[in-house]
Amino acid sequence: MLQNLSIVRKGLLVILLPILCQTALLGLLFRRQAEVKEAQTMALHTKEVLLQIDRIVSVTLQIQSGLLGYAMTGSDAYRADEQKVIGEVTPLMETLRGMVSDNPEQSRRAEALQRAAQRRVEWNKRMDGLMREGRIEEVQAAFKSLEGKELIDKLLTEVDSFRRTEEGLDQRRLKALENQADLQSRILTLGILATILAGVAAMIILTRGLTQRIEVLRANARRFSRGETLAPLVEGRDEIAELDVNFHEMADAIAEGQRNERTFQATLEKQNAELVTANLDLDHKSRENEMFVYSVSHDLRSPLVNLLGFSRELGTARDSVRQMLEGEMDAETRGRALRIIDRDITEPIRFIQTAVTRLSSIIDALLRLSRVGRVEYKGEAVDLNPVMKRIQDAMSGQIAAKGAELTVQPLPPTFGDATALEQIFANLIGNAVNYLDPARPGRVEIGVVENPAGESEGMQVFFVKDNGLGIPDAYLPKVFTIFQRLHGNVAPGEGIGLALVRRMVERHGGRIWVESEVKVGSTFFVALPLLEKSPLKVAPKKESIKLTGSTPDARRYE
Amino acid sequence: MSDPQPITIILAEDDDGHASLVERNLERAGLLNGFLRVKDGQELLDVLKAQGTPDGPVLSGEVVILLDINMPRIDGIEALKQIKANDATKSIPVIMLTTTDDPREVNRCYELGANVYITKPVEYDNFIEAIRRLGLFLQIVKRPRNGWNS
Repeated sequence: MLQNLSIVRKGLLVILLPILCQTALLGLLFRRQAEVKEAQTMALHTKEVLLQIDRIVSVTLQIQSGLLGYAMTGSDAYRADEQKVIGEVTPLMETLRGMVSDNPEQSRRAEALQRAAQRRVEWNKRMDGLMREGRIEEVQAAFKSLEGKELIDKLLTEVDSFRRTEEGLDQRRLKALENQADLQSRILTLGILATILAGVAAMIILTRGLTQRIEVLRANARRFSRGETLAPLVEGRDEIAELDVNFHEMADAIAEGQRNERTFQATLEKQNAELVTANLDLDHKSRENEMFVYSVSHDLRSPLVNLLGFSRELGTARDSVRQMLEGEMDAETRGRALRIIDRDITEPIRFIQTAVTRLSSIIDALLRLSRVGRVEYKGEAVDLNPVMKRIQDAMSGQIAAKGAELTVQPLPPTFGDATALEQIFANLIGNAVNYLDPARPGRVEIGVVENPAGESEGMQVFFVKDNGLGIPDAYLPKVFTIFQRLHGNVAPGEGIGLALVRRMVERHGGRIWVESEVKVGSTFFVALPLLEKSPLKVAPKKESIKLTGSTPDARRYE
Repeated sequence: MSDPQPITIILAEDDDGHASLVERNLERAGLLNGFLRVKDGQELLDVLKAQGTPDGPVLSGEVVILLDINMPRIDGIEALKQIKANDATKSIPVIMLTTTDDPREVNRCYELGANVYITKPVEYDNFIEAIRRLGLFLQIVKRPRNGWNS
């Protein structure tokens, strides 16, 4: 509840609470002051009433004494005094009645007092009349009968009663006044105490709520700066709670930012890794190109050395023969000339022809290699079984000559360029047959690897396995490099076949590799991607491709 | 120059034409008293290994190797490495003979201990000149060696 108030309002509360207490106290005090003042007025009033009573008593006594003096002396001086004082009685009485008009009891007593005074005044008037008529005895008798005294006594009794009542009233009022003063001092003490307590209590409540929550806020600020998780939101709806909400929002925003940064970082690293791979690949390709140029230049120069060298040899031989023919030709000279023709001319011609043939086949091979990169491949479903049959038929002569045995497992349909696939397998099978070991009966086997793992997972992997000469470990990395020949003298060739095969397999998005052991044999593996992963454009449907099913959809055979 | 010492030149060269041209020019330079041609590095190493054994070839006098680089099985670089790594053969002078003049390859051969490096020239005259220089070199090289041996 308190936490829902804003700090400004709380501060106001802390100031206002004591002020309110003090104001209430002041109000109370002012009221008490007014009451005291009123009580004092009343007390003064009572005093005035009593004074009036005293005047009435004095007048009454003057009336009696004036009548008595007149009666005794007959002097008009006494009578004049008496008449004068009698005239004062009614105004005095009226004044008294006016003074006590607010008090019904005293009003009644004042009335009785007035009546008593009136009766005495009338008695005086009767005595005065008797005196004027000279009826002194009757006056004396009246005095003797104590009629006048009784009337005075009665009047004095009334006065006493009135005075007592008025004095009692005065006493009570004084008492009340005393009580009021007492209460006032108590209220003052209590009020000051209450104000202090209220102030302290308000301060404690305010500071406790504030300091505790500000401490939470400070701790959150520290955690925030260290990037730690923040404490749960502080309660309430004031500025502190608002600030804490802001802190949490900031922390969330930063956490979000960090998450994003991590994602970016990961993406960046991934892309970096890809770049590194691409770079390595480029590097590899560039080294391969260098190697290629090196091999090409070497292989082109090599026959040129022969061409130039032997044509110069021919020139030398021609000069020698001409010299002989120009001179006398005896049997010995004829014999030398024939030797020159047989050896120094025939051999150079043979070497020149060989060199020209070799140059021409190198150039053809280069053209073939460049064509592999240029020809557009068309991807289609290919049944390899008839392809293998064709290759086997075409090579039947060589196979028979080597006394080799060729086994082809039933192969699943695959996806690729039909012509290129036939070239790939024809080349691999040709190599296998050509480099069989004459020391044992040759066997060549073609098949498919079930459930290939590792780099070739999810690809179709075919193999061509032989029990031929094998390839030494040192030579394995060069197997697919152009113009590299291991068994140079075993079979004719330019050392371009496997380079071509690799290029064709790579254009299919596939891989080729070899496992080999010298004098045991080699196995070449060709991994081809399935239809979805193939980089080749899918060729329009062709009627000639008949697969085992009714639709030529390679996916059915994965 | 008088009384030439017997020298056996072993030529390791896979190209028959190149081998024939080298042989003809060595013959013209009068350096063909001992000549043996092998077809690749492996054969060369086999010959060196078998030297001195009852079945092995008899190599008279000083032995000099003319070594082609691009050869099947064991190439010239590998053969050079093995020759120079073997105490029995490392003192044999080796003359690298190849078609390329790639400076990196030249340096590599010298680092591996080749004594001379001759690029097989396309110009025939230069080739002969190279072979002549080679003959001269062989004769110069021989003398102090004999001196040390005696």
